[in-house]
Amino acid sequence: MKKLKILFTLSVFVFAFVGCDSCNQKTMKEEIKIGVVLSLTGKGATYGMNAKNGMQLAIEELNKKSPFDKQNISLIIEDSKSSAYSALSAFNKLIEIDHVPVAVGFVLSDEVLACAPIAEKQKIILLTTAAGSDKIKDAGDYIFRNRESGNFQSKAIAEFAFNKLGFKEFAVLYSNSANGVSYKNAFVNSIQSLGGKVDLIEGYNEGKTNYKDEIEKLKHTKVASVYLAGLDVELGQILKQSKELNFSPQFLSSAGGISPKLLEIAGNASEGLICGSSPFDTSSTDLHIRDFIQSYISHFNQQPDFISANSYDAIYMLANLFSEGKTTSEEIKKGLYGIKNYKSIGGVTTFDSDGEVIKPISIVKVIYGKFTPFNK
Amino acid sequence: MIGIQIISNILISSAFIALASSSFALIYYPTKFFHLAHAAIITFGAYFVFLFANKFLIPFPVSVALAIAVATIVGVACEVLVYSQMRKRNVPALAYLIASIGLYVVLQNCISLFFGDDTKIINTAEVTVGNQIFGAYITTVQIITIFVSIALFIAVNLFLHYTATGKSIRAVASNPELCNIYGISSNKIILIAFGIGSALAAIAGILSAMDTNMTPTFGFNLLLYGVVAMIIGGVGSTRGLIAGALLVATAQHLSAYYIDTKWMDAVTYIILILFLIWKPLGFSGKSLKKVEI
Repeated sequence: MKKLKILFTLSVFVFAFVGCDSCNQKTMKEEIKIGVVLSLTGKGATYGMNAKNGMQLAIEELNKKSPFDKQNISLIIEDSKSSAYSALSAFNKLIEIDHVPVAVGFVLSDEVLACAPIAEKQKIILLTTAAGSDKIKDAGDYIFRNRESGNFQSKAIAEFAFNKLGFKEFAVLYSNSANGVSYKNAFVNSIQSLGGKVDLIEGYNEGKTNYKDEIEKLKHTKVASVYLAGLDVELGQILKQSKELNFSPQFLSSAGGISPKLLEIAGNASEGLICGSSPFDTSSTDLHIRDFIQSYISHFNQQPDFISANSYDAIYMLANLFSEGKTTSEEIKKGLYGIKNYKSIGGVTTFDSDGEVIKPISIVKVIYGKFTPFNK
Repeated sequence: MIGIQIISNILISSAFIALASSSFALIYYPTKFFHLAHAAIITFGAYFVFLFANKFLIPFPVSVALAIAVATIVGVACEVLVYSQMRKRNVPALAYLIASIGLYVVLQNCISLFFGDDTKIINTAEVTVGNQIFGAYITTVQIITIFVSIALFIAVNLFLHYTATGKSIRAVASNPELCNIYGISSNKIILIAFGIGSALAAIAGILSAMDTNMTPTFGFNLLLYGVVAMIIGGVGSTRGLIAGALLVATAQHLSAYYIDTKWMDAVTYIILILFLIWKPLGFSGKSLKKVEI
């Protein structure tokens, strides 16, 4: 009798679950997976975490919508450990095992360039939300970038420093990575075409912690302005050690410098740093942007940056394409190329024929330990 | 011309390398194997200061003492739980190296899992211009590093030459079997060497992290330079070790300044290879004396 009772209870449970599931299937749309490859640990961890937060916020909002609009999108997040090799393994896993039509993230340029040939071969969309290297432009038909190329930023900050700040001679210290080299080349070319002089171009190996020799070399050039191209942790150390060695030119930096980690490492030595930035404006009065910032802060207890905004936008752009029924990689590719003047949190977005976006560049300066738009 | 700042940079780096090198050598002498997990002990010292001082808000000097103690315990645990067990089973010499690499990976992953991989800061003081000494700028942490390294280096040498335990370490380094016959327990002496070596490693790690911050793998670079200095200097030679540290630091800074900073590590290892080919016993040119039974 007891056994019968247990059997009965079990069958009721099973029936209830099966019943519920079939009910859900009627209202829920088919699940669409988005692959995500991010440097959640290692040297690019700050950028990766900001991108992840932006994406998760977007997914949460999309899932909160009414049952009729609700899309069944899920993120499969893989850690690239800030290495191109691990990014490639993660990307392969997403393609071979999870069969995703699109993978987003890839905050480091080296990761994008390592995965691009596979994306092209397998015809899978690779959408980076932060990488800056100029080489990404020619990486392939399936490679998209939801931020402006580092070239534009380097050019903008070079023009700003030359024309507005009046510096004519510069020195450049760059990270020997795809990203650092790209920013360096663009900056040097821009300064030279403007008629300025670059007295020293010095590279360093990624992940270094001691920059005293580089700083000593910079000191000897006696230039009044130094352009830095690298990651937040590296630039933070350079600023800190420069101050310790009593070297205080006007530092300019690539977008890699815009990160709370730089402020944490360099402390008061970051004061006055000028960076080229994406158009995402934390002091914007636009209602959508204010809502995004509020929501982001309440979720993650920190300010969003341009990478969070671009990553949030990327998920919304894909969700819009999914809602139009474009779910295969070919359809998504056509859809992305078709995006024109899309008003997003990270600036108005239009993809050109290279899968690149052109957005206006803004300049920010560290004032009282905060990145503040320069013209405000 | 070599600037005074470059010379001071060389001295500061030499101090770090010499400290890491002597901590490693102290364990290498009696055990004769590369305890590469020592790199994780360097890292442990710094991360435990971060945990105690920045997370538990324990006063900084107390945190430093606690961190050194914890790192020492971890170092001793490596010997008790792994190496001494292997010695009992008489495993071949290569197995120790493999085990130490395995241990390093495990310990380093523990740090990554617990603290994360991003750069951590233990020196939260306001960044100020360094003290000007003969025209060079040197921060207070760097001055402390130089003095602590010199003091510890002298202390270790006095200990090795003038105390019974120190002499026992040298005796075990020379011939462990003979020591056992004479009633010196080689296992106990090795344990003491692990304790002192690990404490020194933790101090090296803490000072390095206070100067240039830390990531879970920063100990390995410091240890590698230390090992190179030890090999160049000649195993078993104190003066050789100092000369090795100075040579490694000088080669690094001069190559960075006159060639390119990207060549720093390459130049270090080129010197190591040249030494291994032309002068395999290092500056001192002597191997450890071995008393045969």
